[in-house]
Amino acid sequence: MNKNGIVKAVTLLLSLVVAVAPLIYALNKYEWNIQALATPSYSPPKVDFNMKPSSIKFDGRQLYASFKLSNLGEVKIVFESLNATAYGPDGKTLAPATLDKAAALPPNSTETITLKVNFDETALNRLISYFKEGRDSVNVEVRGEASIRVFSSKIAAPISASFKISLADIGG
Amino acid sequence: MGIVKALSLNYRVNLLGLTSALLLFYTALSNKPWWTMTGGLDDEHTFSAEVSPFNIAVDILGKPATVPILPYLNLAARLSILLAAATTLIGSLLAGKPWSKPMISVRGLILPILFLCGLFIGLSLAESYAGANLPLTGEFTLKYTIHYGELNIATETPTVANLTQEYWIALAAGIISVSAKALHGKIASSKNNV
Repeated sequence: MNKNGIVKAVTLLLSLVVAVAPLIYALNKYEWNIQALATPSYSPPKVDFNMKPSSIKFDGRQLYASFKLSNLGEVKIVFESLNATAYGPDGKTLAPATLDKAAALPPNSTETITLKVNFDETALNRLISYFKEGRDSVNVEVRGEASIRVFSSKIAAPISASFKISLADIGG
Repeated sequence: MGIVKALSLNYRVNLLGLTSALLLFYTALSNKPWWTMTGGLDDEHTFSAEVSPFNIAVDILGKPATVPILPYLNLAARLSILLAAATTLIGSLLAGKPWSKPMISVRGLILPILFLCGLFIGLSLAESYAGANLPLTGEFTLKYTIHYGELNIATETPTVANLTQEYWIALAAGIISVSAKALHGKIASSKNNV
């Protein structure tokens, strides 16, 4: 074999060794379990929050329903807005509901968020009519879509919250 | 033949080979990514991917995503390019020797081309898996729907993807190494004619 052939063979052999040796080492380390070696691993952070009714206040025709929002997850959550509707106990639409102001919740923190429900004359009369049926309190459910920001990603998630209104709450 | 004589310092050193070897050493020893994709705004990144043949770092919601085989593939790529740089350097310094031509490696060009192909295939696979459009470069809004029980949660993430300066340096090193190989052939034939 001439010098040219020897150089060619040596460089080829070296190329093969440096390309294959790390893979052989990896396979050996993982006991030739190719599946374990090629399986992606990722543990996502916990995203969890809990909402509990806190207080209710009527101001004119506007109902302010406050909730204690606890971030039980590992990432910061920002509640930016809410596009929802309040429903009466019979499932009939009462009024549109929005978020009074945005709330930022770092992990393991609790904030109070306020839902603003705008009652018009008809909705208010419908709410009062539930009490005229002899109820002590009326269960109002708010359902809609919350706009949430997690790590600067905008997330539109369905949301549902309910609270009870007594006649005293509306000044009756 | 004047240009060959000039680029080889009178048929003694392959200057293009030297240049490509130095660029290949820089490329292989640098830990900077060749391609990046970042989702999110400012310091709050929903996800980030920093990819090069020598290092792959993927973070989603602040947590790393890993595949055990990747560091070993990265090591194999790094060692291959270091070897290519070393043989090209030695071959370039010994340009006068007829047996030095096989030492001028063109692996420096193969890697950036394979990288781009791999990236394209990887993004296509991610697209079909996630059902989202993932371009190779540019600014876009990544829309993705998470199916959670009966709920559909829609996410929108402003995303930027780029091939970095490191990629273009690696590609330049590869192109120069191919030119160096051609020059080496010319040096050998010119030397034989002299």
